[in-house]
Amino acid sequence: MPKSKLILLFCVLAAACLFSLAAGPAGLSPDIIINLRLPRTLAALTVGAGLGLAGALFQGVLKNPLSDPYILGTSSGATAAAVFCFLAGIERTSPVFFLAVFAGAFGATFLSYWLARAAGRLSDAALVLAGVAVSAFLSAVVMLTLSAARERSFSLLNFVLGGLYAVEPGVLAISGTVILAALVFSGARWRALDAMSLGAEKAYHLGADPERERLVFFGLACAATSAAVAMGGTIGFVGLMTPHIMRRFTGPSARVLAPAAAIGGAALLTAADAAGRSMFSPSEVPAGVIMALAGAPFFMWLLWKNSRGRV
Amino acid sequence: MRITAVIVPFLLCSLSLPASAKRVVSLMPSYTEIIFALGAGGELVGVSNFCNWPAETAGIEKAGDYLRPNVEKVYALKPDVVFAGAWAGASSSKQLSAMGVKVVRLPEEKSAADIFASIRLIAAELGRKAQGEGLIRSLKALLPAAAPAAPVKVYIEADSGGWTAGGHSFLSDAIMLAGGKNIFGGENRGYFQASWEEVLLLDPQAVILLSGAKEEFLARPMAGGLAAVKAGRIITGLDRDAFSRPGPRLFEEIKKLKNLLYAEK
Repeated sequence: MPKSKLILLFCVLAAACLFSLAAGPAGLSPDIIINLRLPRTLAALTVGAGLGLAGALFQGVLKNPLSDPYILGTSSGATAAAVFCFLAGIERTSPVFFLAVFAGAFGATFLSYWLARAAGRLSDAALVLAGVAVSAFLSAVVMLTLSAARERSFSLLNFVLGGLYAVEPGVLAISGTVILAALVFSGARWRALDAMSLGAEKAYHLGADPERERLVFFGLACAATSAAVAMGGTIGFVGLMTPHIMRRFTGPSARVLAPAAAIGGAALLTAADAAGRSMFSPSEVPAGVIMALAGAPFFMWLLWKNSRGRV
Repeated sequence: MRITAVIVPFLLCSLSLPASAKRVVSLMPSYTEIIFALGAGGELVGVSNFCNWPAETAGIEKAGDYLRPNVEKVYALKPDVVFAGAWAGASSSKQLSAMGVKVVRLPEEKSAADIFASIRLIAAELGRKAQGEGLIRSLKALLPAAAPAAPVKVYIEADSGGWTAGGHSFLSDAIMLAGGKNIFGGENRGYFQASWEEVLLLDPQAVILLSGAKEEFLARPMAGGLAAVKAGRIITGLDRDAFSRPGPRLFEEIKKLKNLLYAEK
C-alpha cells in the first residue's frame, strides 16, 4: 500500500476518534472527555477492529465477498450464547463467559458453512442462504428466551440490539486482548490466507492445508467476533463493509488488507457510535442501529454489483 | 296481584342495582388491579399474561399480553366487556368488535389525573361509579399535601441501559407528586434511552433504579461524581411492578418515594 494511502487511512481513524471525543452535550469538558468519552471511544475502536478483522478473514478464507460475522450467523451464535450466560448468572468478565460465547460463534459459523457445502458446490449464494437460516433460527431462540425471561427481558433486548452504552473496563481489557491477539496471529499467517483466497485447490498446491487453515481462520475470526459481541452485542455490517472499502486502497493481499480492515472497522464504528449518541440528544441511538442504516443499503449495492459479475 | 307484588320490586331492584356478575376480560395489569380495587375482581374471567397482582389473578385464565392479545382465547371466554389499552393492536380490537365482543380501549395514562380518568371509565363500565369515586378519594388521600419549594432532581431508570421516562409518562408525574422533579420531565415523549453524558450533565440529586442493578449503575464512568451518589440517594427499594403500572398501587409507592426522598440523613 502506498504511503499516501496509509496516511489517509490513519487520518480517517484520527478524525473518527476526534469526532467521538468531541461530540456530546457536555461540550469540551476535560473531565467528560477523559472519563466518559475516552473509554467509550476505546470500546468502539476495539469492537470495530474486531468486526472489521473478522470480516476480512471470513471473506478471504471463504473466497466469498458477501461474508461477514453478521451474515454468516457468527454474531447470532455469540449473542445467543451470551444471553444464555446472562440468564445463568455468568458474569461478563468471567473466562467461562468468553469460552461460551466463542463456542456459540464457532458452532453457528461452522453450521452455516457445513450446510452450504452440503447443499452442493460452495457458492456465494448458498453460504449467504445458510447463514440467513442459521441466524434466523438463533434469533428466534434468543427472542423466545427473552419473552420467557420477563423480568430482565428489556435489559437483554438492549444487549441484543447492540450498543456500547456502559462498557465495563474488565470486559474492554479482555476483549481488547483477544482481538489484538487475533490480529497478530492472522498477520503472521497472511500467506496462508492469501493462498486460501485463491480457492482450496490452489491453496493445496501452494503448500497450505486447506482444511486446517479454514479451521484456523474460522477460529481467529470467531474469536474476534465473540470478543466484539461480548462488549457491544450484535452489531452488523462493520465486517461486511470495511474489507470492501479497504480493498480499493490496499489491494487483495491479506498482509495489508486484514490490518487495514481492522483499522477501517475501528474508524467506522467509532464514528457510528459517536453519531448515535450525539445527534439525537438527550436520547441515544445504539451504534448497531446506525450501522444497519448505513450497512444494509451497502449490502444491497454489493448484491446488485455481484449479480452483474463485477465483484 | 300477588305475582306483580313480587315481580315489580324485583324489576325495580334489577334496574337500580349494577348489572350483576358481568364477565370481564382485562388486558393490562393496571386495569386488573383497578378492577380488584373496585371490588369487582370476581367478575374477571380473563387477564393478561403479565397480570400477577393480587394473588387471585393466578387462578384466572390468561388471554395473551397487552400488545398481542390472544383474540380466540378472549372470544372463547365470552366476555361482556374487554378492557384493552391504547397499546393493544387496533386490529385485534377490531376483530373482537366484529365478532360482537364489546371492547373498551382506554387511553394511555400520562399523569395521575389520567389514572383517575381510567378508574372512572372502568367503574362506570362495571356499574360501580360510587366505588370508583371512593377509590379515587382514598388514593388522593395518600398523596403528599403540598409540593416542596425546591423539589429534588430525580433520574429514573426503568431498565438498565439508560431507559428512562420523559414528560409524557405518568412516571414523571409520580415523581413530581412525591416531591421530586424528573430531570427528563421536559422531554415530550414517553420512554426513551437517555445518553449517559446527558445524565451526568443534569446531575440528579436522587436516582431511582426500577431494575435494581445498583452495582452496575455505580460502575458506570463518573457515576461517583453524581450528587445522588455522593448523597447516597440511589433508590432501589420501590416495587418495580407497582411503580411502573398506572394503577392504584402506584400511590402507595409515591408515598414511599416521598419518604425516601425526604428522609432525614
